[in-house]
Amino acid sequence: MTPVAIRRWYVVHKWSSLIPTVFLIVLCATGLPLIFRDELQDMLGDEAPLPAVAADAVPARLDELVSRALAARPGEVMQFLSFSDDRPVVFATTAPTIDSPPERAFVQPFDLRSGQALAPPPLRRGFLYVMLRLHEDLFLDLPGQLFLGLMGILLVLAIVSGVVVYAPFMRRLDFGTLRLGRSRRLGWLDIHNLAGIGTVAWLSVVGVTGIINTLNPVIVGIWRAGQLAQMTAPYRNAPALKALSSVDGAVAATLAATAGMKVSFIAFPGTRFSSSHHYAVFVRGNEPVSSRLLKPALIDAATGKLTDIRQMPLYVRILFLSEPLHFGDYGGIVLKIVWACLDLTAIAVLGSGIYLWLGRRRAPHERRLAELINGGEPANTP
Amino acid sequence: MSGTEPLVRRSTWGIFRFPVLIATISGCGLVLALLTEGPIDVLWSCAVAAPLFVLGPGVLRALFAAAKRKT
Repeated sequence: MTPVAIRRWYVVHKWSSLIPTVFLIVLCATGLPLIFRDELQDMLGDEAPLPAVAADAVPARLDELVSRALAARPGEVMQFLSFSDDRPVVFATTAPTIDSPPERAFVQPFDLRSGQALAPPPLRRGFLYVMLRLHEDLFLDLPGQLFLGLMGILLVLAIVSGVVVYAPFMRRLDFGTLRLGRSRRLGWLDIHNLAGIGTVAWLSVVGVTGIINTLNPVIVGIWRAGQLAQMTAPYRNAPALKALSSVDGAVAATLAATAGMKVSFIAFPGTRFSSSHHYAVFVRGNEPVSSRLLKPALIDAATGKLTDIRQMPLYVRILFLSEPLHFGDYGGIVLKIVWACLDLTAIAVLGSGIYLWLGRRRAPHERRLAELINGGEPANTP
Repeated sequence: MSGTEPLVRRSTWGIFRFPVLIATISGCGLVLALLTEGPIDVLWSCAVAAPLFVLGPGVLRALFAAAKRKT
């Protein structure tokens, strides 16, 4: 590589790292508790244990639960029914209008084994909520989300340029060299390089999946305008619904067409995941990967008949798989601990990067480049 | 790099072979943990942790060596 090329890549690495550093440290720090979200929810009592049910308890009918949820919130309408992944619990979401935003919604959980109403989960408060919002959008909604996506793009650029400038730095050093006994700067320089190059694969996966996750609203919007609009096109000019058919019937019709799958959530007619004439019943598989992928089945809410069912497009499936790959919550507690250690290593890379920059920020460019080309040694080394 | 070692200039492959190996092991672990379920995930998690197995002992060894030199 020519000295000019090294100089260019060095400048790219410096600015693509420095600009997002503060935000990336916030993301790493808030991401740490989110890795252990399930464990912390149990510890903080966000998910109360389920009460024991009598042996002869009759499983609840969804239609009945919908009626009870609406009776508890007079004047509101049903938006969604969401099923818990690991507990026999369904969450009924009601809101003042069918198109109300999530922040105006109210959630009532029910025990599916008995139909018993459970204590509502803490919504929009608590430690995990604050961590999640800081991590997702810095409490700035869509602009914050897209801004963090931009920071993610800079992170990917910093990784690529970091790999490029790693080569001239290591030209005369063994892999894994750590000169901690010499100067503090040299020690941190070696730790920065070794930790950075070692975590390249993990950091790239977390960075890229993070960018994809920030595009969630955009991807959902494209899906609604594309596949969902196609699936509901025959109903575009249909008259308004007078009454809704049975929710249990919609679930039964869906499961009859999707053997071996289970229902993840149901969007009621008029919500953003359905049309004004359909229940959208989203099902998922039972295998490790298929359990992460949702498949929409549209049920005519007047007749209760299945009208269409499709695999979601590739870009939506990539979004679904990005979430576990970003949070590391798909391989049990050992993977979560590994994820947390790698997260701390990433903080060390970011922190050491700032330390190294602060130590040389007033030094001439040539001196900094000489340090890079000479593997951290003084510039007069041949 | 104390100035007394012979001057060695490594090839690009010489520089990147270990990082590529670590990234491959770690990356395969990431994907395999997503594709499987059960106790085998512990093995894939260890693969994901490959960078930690390099960094951890390296830092400890360097710290011990630095402490020894000081005493």
